[in-house]
Amino acid sequence: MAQIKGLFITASGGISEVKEAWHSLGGELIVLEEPDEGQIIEAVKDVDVAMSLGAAPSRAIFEAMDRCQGWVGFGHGYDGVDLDAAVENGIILTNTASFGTDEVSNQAMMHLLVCARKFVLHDKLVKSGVWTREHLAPMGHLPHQTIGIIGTGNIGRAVGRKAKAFGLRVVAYDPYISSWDTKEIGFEPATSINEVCEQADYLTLHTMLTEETFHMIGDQQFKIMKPTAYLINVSRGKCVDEAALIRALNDGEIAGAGLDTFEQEPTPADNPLLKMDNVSVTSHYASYSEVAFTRRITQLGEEGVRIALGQWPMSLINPAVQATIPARDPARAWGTF
Amino acid sequence: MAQFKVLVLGSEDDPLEAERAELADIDCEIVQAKPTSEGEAMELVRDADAILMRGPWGTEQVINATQNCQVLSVYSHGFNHIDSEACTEKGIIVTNGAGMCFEEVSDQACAYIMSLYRHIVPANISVKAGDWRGENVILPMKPLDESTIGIIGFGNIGKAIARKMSSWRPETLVYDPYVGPWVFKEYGVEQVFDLKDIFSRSDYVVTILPLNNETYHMIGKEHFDVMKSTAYFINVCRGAIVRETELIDALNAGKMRGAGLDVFEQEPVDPNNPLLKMDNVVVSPHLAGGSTRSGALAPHRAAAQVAAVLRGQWPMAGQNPEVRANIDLRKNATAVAPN
Repeated sequence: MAQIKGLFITASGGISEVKEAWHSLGGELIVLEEPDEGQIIEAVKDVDVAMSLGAAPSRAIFEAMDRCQGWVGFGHGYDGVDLDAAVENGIILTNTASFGTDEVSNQAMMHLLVCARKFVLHDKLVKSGVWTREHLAPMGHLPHQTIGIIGTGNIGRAVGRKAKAFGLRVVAYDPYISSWDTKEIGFEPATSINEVCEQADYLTLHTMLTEETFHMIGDQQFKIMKPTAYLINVSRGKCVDEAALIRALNDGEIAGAGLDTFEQEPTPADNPLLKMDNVSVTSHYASYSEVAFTRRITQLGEEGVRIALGQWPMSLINPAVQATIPARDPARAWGTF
Repeated sequence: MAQFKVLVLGSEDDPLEAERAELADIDCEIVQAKPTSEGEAMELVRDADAILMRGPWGTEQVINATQNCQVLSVYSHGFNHIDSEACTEKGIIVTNGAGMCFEEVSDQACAYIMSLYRHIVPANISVKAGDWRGENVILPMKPLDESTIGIIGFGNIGKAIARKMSSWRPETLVYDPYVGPWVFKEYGVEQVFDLKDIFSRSDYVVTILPLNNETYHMIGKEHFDVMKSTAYFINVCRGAIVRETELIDALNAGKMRGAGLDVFEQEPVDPNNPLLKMDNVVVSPHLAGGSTRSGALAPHRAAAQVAAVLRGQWPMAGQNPEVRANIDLRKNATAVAPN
């Protein structure tokens, strides 16, 4: 096997996990802890791939990557990465997709149940000494209700599978998934976001934040949603027009929301959403568990090895790069090469 | 004059209704022709912008005779009869009818599992011959919830097999080196990293792979040798992924209990093929993909791929992704309504 050399940039540990992936295949690993841009630019010149558990790559870094074929970023989202610069410089970009599928889908289901059972309000009432059933209605019966999923990647699928276990009907929209894949997953396909909004008792978002998904849920969608419906957002805050959400909640256009993410994070303490008893909130930790966070670091190392060995990564996030660089071998499962 | 010429190669009296429906928004002329020789096929493809192909015309010569072709779409699932490498070099996207029959093929695999498990074929023969409940027909019979099913290949069909069989609660093992670990997890199956482990641990081994350079004759003696003598081998994909003479030897030597085969190295199968003489081998004539629906879907799927490419998108069912290095950037594939 050819000698491969990787660069690991970290601001938060993970060195032993990445080293393990690299050393198991005899690769060499250079580690930079909290480097500045100039140090990264120097370091990428002499490696096959860069893996980062910290800094996002800049155009200048991509331009310095001659030998270096790819950049592995941590986590799921890649908003903030200059995709055009990567494609122009023939740089393969990958994230660590799937590391927290269970955690994020559980967070969505938790918010769904918290909303459905009106937990926030009743937790507050009981703890303040008020024991009452007068705020229960309207309260849905899950097997008579519909969850609408926008985005059926790994997380959207897991949410749908879990929702089915509660008896919910699942309607989903994802224009980038083939009809046969949708059929195999077993969700009812919708042909537009608005169609999902009209049908959903719980609308949940599982997309990346891109130009296409920025503010994809706004005034128009809230107006066609059922007044008894809830919005669940554990993806990215900016997928929702937050001002429109606040207005819709104040006007009773929807019944409530469960939010792990906000347009601005940390969200300001005076955000009206934080004062509403029909809104459950968490602090953008949907993907967290010790297992998931370790898995994400291991996967960072594994994807780096794939790229260095001349394979595609498992989770290519800029497929447009395929037109700008020579053909490569398909990604193989870790443990089969 | 229309912007594009779409050539349906290999048919001459097809109604082309499905093709016209899928290509309705494309400014194209659809013509069909059935060549009688490679030379004739080469002439026909010269000015085609897209080719929908029936029959054996996907040779290097024919592909190299194209001058404008952007996409070659086959009506079938398999595309082993197309010279994909020549297409890639020419910058032609190869697509197939992916998804048109994944329910049917997975049903066939499950039918084989159930039939072999319940000994339906030998029992049927035995009862009709007047031998009511011969002991040799019925036992041993291990229930599925105590059995292990090994699936080789985890595309749409492999996944559907796992999903369908899961209601019998077997242990399910899957081998597919090109699938991410999260997919196995989502389906609740065990990912196996060594092909031999699938054969040694499973009571039913099912192969569901495309036939290509990597999978040609991939399964043989070394795998059958490690099987349980009570296990079954089921092939519903392509005959040539197995070294058939070694399968015959393994069955003769009692290395496994039996087999279910929808496909053979040579088709139609030679009537003298020893596999046809074995009571413990259940066969069908390569019909796993067939149903009233899949037949009607095939031209829709094939033409929908062509339409996507002519619109400037990637098709949903592209089969030579390495072609992207040889052609200009395209937009992501999108499903336009349920296709």
